[in-house]
Amino acid sequence: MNNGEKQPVTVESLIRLKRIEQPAPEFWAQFNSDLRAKQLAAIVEKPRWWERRSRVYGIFSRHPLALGTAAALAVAVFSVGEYRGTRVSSPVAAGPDEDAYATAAAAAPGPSEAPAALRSSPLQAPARSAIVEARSVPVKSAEESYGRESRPTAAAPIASAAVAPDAARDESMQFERSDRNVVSLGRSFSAMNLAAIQAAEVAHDQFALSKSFESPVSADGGSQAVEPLARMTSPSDERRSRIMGDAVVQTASFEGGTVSPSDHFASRLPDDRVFDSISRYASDSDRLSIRF
Amino acid sequence: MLEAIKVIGKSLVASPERVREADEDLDVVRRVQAGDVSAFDRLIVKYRGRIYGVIYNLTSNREDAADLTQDTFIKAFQSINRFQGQASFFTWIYRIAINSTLTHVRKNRSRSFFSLESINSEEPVSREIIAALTDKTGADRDTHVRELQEKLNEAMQKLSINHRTVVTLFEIDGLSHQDIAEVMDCSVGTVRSRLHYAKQLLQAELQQYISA
Repeated sequence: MNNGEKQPVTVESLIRLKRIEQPAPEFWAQFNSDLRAKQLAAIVEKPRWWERRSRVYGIFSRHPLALGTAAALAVAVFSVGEYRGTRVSSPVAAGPDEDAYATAAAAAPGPSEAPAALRSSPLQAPARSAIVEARSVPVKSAEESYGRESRPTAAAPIASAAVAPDAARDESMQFERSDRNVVSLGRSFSAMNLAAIQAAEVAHDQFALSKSFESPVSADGGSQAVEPLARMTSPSDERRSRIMGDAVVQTASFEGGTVSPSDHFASRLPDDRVFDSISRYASDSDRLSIRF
Repeated sequence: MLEAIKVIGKSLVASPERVREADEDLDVVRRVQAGDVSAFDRLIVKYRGRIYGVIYNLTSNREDAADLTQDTFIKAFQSINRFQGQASFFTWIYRIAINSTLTHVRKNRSRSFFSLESINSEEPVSREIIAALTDKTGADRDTHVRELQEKLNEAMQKLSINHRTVVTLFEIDGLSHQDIAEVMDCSVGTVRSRLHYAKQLLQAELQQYISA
């Protein structure tokens, strides 16, 4: 072999030299005997706990699709349940007065007794009382309703419309808290909707009653004689009661227990602004729009 | 034929020899699974040299290679009932061997000493290369072969374990890129990339032996 016939030495040819690094034939005799001994030892030896665990994992790895689907379904069902529970247990307008109301309602033996905590919030009191009355007495007079308040406000019906679903949710939460093991989620929702509709009807009746007479309230709660002119309602009052009556029904029926930000905003409006903007209410067949 | 395709698994390029070999292996495995334990010896005899060669080139240690080869066959024997034929037995046992070796190398990263097999310098392939190198340097032949062997192992050990595995399986054991990808559970592109990078490193390490 002369230099002209030599192949160039490359990395590949150098690496391939390692192919011929082979053990001697006698090596395999020793190898076989060692392997046989290890096989016997492996058969006799009890499998360790991690080996047993790896076998269990092997079973899981054989059916990854079915087990993965089952796990995903379980997680989805659990998540939906948790999400619903979170929505029910987190009221939109939770406040200290509502907690006080809930506590008072839980402590009260019957629904006919008005909780003392109701008086702490004059604006929302009519709605609360409406809820309570809806459970006990279907319709009470507006005079009686106003008698509980320190001052009758024109914004009270709006507040009732805004808080009624909230109060209804409180009612449903009371049911859950008092009998948590029994009351189901669907039942609480239906109770909430029913209470909201009843509250809307009560508020509508109050507006209707307020059209017929508006009497000043004495300190002892009784009504005095009213002059005939005072019995006459102004056109604005009549329009207000008509529009707000519709608004209450629509809010209660379509919002399904949720309190929109516009309701909160309306509940904070002073009386004169409500009267000024009452003409900006527009009600369609399925919505109520307020232009400020 | 359908079973043969199944045996080959994901391999896109399957030579008829490979298909036939996979069929034979599957028959033996079925016999072992049916209770014929002695049939496993055929698989041992068939694959022990290749498995040992791969492990030896990854560890550069004879004793470790022998132990790991035995462990590989014992693990394969213990879990032979879990072998379902979705891949070839060859791929399956190679994967066991590679994984065992990787675990061993990572565990004993700090400990590295070589115990090398002897090169049969009378092999036709090696004779030409050794002759060329000897003529080039003019050194003593046996001494030069020994030095070259040590240098080769040092260069291999400087590679990362993944690059070393790819070089060993492709250049020394002669597997295809697809087979290596199956054994190492990575893509063919990754195999090519690792191979290219490993060759660059080896070329830099073995520069003195490579023809210009």
